[in-house]
Amino acid sequence: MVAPAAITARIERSLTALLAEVNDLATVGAEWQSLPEWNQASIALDWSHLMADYLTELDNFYRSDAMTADQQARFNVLRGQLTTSLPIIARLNLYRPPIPLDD
Amino acid sequence: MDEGGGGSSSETDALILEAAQTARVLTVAELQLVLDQVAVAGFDPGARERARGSLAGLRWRGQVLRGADMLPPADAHYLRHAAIGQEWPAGTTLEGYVTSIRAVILDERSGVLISRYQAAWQLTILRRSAELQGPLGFAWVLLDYRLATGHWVTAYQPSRGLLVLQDPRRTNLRWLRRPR
Repeated sequence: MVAPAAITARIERSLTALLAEVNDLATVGAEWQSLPEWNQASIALDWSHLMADYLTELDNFYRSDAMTADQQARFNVLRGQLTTSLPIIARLNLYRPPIPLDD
Repeated sequence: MDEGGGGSSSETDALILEAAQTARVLTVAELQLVLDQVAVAGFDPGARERARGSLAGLRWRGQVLRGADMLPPADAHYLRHAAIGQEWPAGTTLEGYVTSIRAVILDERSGVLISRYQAAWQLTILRRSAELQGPLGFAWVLLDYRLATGHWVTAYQPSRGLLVLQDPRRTNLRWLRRPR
């Protein structure tokens, strides 16, 4: 299925942003205790936005067959990385991914 | 800081706390006093946060950002949500992002919510994004103000349904004014 350009742009934006943020989680976890509380809140609030809005929308696109094969592969990489990151997400008390992380 | 609005941040924070802790209904004038102060508070110009995640590699102010670089919060959140995220209209500048947030805070249609987030009181203002919805934006605009710092924490566009407000880290939610 060829998705309209607007949907493709949303998929690409969200995949890129989420993969970058998940890749940075280990660094966030290492510096967490040294961060002022406002900075911890800022990170947590933005993470919540990524989970509640970017990730749920991506999952909807995935399940409605709006993604290319390449995008599906990257989405599955993201889901795998989120699965691996669940312990650090729990340790930092961040918003847990609200989508199934495997089919 | 007292740059207008008629009230100091300590007076307006006291009003917010009173509304949160006693469930007293603020008068229209009291709520306006609070919102005027929150509008001028802005992001903390003296704070710095790391150019983490998607900001690394972005060209900003003549330099390519590295993940270890430190940015003012206004820059970090503008880049994340407007420049990269395209949640705001194309061409929105840093100044435009901040100005638009102030307009949302002062818009009579905006909802105002008090809650505790990670054990600290926050005031959340949200409004339908309307003309502020960019090419990759969502249905609402949300701003979080943290009483402990007297500054904005973040501003972004949540989607329809406001799932972010169901975040279990956000407790003691109470609407001071519902969005219209």
